[in-house]
Amino acid sequence: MRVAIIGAGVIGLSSALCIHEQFHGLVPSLELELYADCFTPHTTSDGAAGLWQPYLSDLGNLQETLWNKETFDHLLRHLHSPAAQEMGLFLLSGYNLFTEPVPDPSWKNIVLGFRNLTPKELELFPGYSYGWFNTALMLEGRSYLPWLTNRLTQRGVKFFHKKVESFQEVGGDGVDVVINCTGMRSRELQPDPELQPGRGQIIKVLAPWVKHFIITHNVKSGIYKSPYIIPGSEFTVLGGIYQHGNWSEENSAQDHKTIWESCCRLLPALQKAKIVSEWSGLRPSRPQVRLERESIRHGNVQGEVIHNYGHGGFGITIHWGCAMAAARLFGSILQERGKVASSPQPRL
Amino acid sequence: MAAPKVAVVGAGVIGLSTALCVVETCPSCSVTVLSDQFSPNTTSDVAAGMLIPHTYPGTPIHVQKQWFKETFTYLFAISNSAEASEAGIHLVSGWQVFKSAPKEELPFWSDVVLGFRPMSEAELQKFPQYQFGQAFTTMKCDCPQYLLWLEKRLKATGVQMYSRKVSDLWELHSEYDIVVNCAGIGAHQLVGDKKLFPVRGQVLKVYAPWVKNFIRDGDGLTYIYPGIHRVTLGGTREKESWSLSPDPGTAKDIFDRCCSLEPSLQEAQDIKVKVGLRPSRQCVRLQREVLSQGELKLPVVHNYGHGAGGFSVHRGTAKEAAHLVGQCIAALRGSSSGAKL
Repeated sequence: MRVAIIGAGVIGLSSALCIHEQFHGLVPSLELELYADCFTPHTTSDGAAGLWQPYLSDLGNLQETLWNKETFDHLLRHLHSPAAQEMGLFLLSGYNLFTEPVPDPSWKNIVLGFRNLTPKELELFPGYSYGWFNTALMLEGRSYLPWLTNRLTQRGVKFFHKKVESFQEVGGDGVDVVINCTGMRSRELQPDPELQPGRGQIIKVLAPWVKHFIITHNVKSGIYKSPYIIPGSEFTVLGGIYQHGNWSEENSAQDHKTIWESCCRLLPALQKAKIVSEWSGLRPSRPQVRLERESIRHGNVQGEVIHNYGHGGFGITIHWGCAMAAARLFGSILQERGKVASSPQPRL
Repeated sequence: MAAPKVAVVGAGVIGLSTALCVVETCPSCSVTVLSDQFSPNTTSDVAAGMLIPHTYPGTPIHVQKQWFKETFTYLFAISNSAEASEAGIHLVSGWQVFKSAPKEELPFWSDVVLGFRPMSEAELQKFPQYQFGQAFTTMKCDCPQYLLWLEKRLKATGVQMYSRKVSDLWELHSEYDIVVNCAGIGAHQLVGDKKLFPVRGQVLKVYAPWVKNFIRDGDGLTYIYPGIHRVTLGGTREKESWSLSPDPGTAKDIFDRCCSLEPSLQEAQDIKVKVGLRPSRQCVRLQREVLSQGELKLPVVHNYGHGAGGFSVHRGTAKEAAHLVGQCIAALRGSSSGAKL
C-alpha cells in the first residue's frame, strides 16, 4: 500500500512519521513516499523561532487547544531522552507582555509554572502594565526537521525532490492515499480562499545573554504585530511582523526598521547585538486548521486525500496533535478498505 | 591633606567594586588598585556569579539582606540598560530543588529576587528525585566580562591599576593615606587572619547553549548556572583545602551529578575544569582599623571574607567600605597633628 505525503515542513515530516510508527506493523505492505519542492533548511518551518506557544485565544476552537496540549505533552516526555538535544528541544522560560489586563490563555495549564508578572518584573518593561511568566518548550526547526528526516529515512521512507502540480500527479499510479501538508501553497493544488499568507519577517542576531523569550502583544493590532524576542540555542530571533494577504518573501527595509527599533526599545542591550541574517516567510493562515479527508476522483479511480494544512503561526506548537489526528484519519481509511480488522491502538 | 591617596588591594569583584564605590563617594580621592592577579585569574573569575546569597552565620540577617538588596537593585538597573551585555549582567530564571523539606520555606532573600514562588507539581515532575522546589528569577554576573567592565569604568575615572604583590600593608604606608584590604583569600597571609579559611570549589565550564534555566540542589553542592557563553556546573565545598589543581575524579563526579539533574548535559562540549578558593569566614570582615608602628599610623578598611556569597553582596559591602573610607578621611582631616602618617 503506497502513501504519498506532499510537503516536508514540520507538518509533512511529522505526519509521515506518525503514520509510519502506527501502521507499518499492521500493514506490512505500507510504503511511504514524501514529495516536496523544498526541504530543510528552506521550509517555512525552518524560519520559525520554534517556541511552543499558541495564539492568545483559541476562538472557541477546543480541538486545536487539545492538539496543542498533545504536542506539548509529547515533547515534554522527550525532554529527558538522549535525543532531546539532537531534536533541538529544550525548556525556555519567558514573558508575555500587555498594556492592559487580559484573560488567561487557553494554554495556561499546559505550560509550566504559569503566573502573572509582579510589579517589580514589569519595571523591566516600561510601557507594559500586565503580563505572564511561564516555562515553555523550544523546538528548533533547523534541528527538528533533520531529526525527523533521519527517523523517516531509517524507516525506509523515500524522499522525492519535486514540485507536485496536482493530487492526481501523485494520486494515480497505485498511490492509495495522499497526505496534503503543503502549507501556504496548498492553494496551488486546490483552491482555498480561506488560506491566506500571514507574512512575517525576522532578524537573527547573536545575543547569547538573552535567556528568556519576551513576547509583547498589542491586543488591538493582533498577533505577532508587536515586537518579540526569542533566544535559540545559537541565535536570538527578533520579530513582530504579521501582514495578512502579503505574498512577498522579500525582506523589507521598513519591516527591518520596525523590528530592530521596537526590539531594541524592549531590550536596550540588543543594540550591541550582531545581526547574522534576515528572513521573510509566509505563515499559512486560516481561520482554522484544515484537517479532514476528501475523496478525489482521477479517472475512474477514487483516491483519498487527507488535508493537514493552515497552521498559521503555530505549526510547531500544534504539529504532533495534528499528526496524530491525520494518523487517525488514515486508520479509518484502512478500516474502510478492510486493510485492518479494527481500529488500531495508537502506539505512542 | 590634598587629594587623599587610597590604595585598594585586590582586583576581584570585591576590590574592583569597592574601588568604584570609593571613587563615586569621594571624587577628590586618588584611587589605585594593586593586585597580584587581575581578571581572568582571580577567584571571582571561577565563580558563576549568581545572585543567590550565602548566609553568613556571624552577620545579622537584616544587614545581609540590605547588602543583597543594594547589589540586586544596582545590577537590575544595568541589566535593563544598553550596557548589559558589555557588563556581562543578565537575568536568568530557574529552580532550586530539595530532596527533603527545606529548613526555611522562605529564605531571607525571597522578596528581593523576582517572582519567587514554590514550584508546581508539574514542574517538580521534571526532577523525580526531588520533593520540593522554589522557582524564581535572579541575575548572573558573567566573568570575565563583569570584571573587565568594572576595570574599564575605573580607568575612565582615572584610577590606576598595577600588578603588584603586596606582602605587608605597611609597604604601602609611604605612598598612600588609606589602604582598603580586598585581598580575599590572600588576607590569610596579608593580615594573618586565622579566622579566614579557604573552601575549595571545583567547577566545570561547558558549552551547552540550549540550557537556558538554572537548576540548583538546595544543598548547594550541585548546580547548573547558564552564563553568556558557557554553563557553569558545580561543585564542591572542601573546607580548609588550599589546592588549586583540578581533580579529575571530582570533575567526573560533578558532571554525573549535574547530568542527573539535567540529562541533556550529556551532550555538553568543550568541558573546562576550574578551581577557586572561597575566602570564607563566619562573617564578612567589613571594618576600619588603624594600624600603628611606633608613631606611624595607617588607616585600613577591611572588606574581605565573602566566602560563597561575594557576587551576591558585592555592591552592598563595597558601598559600606566606601563609607568607612569616608570616615577614615574625616578622621585624618580632623586630627591636627595627624599629618602624614
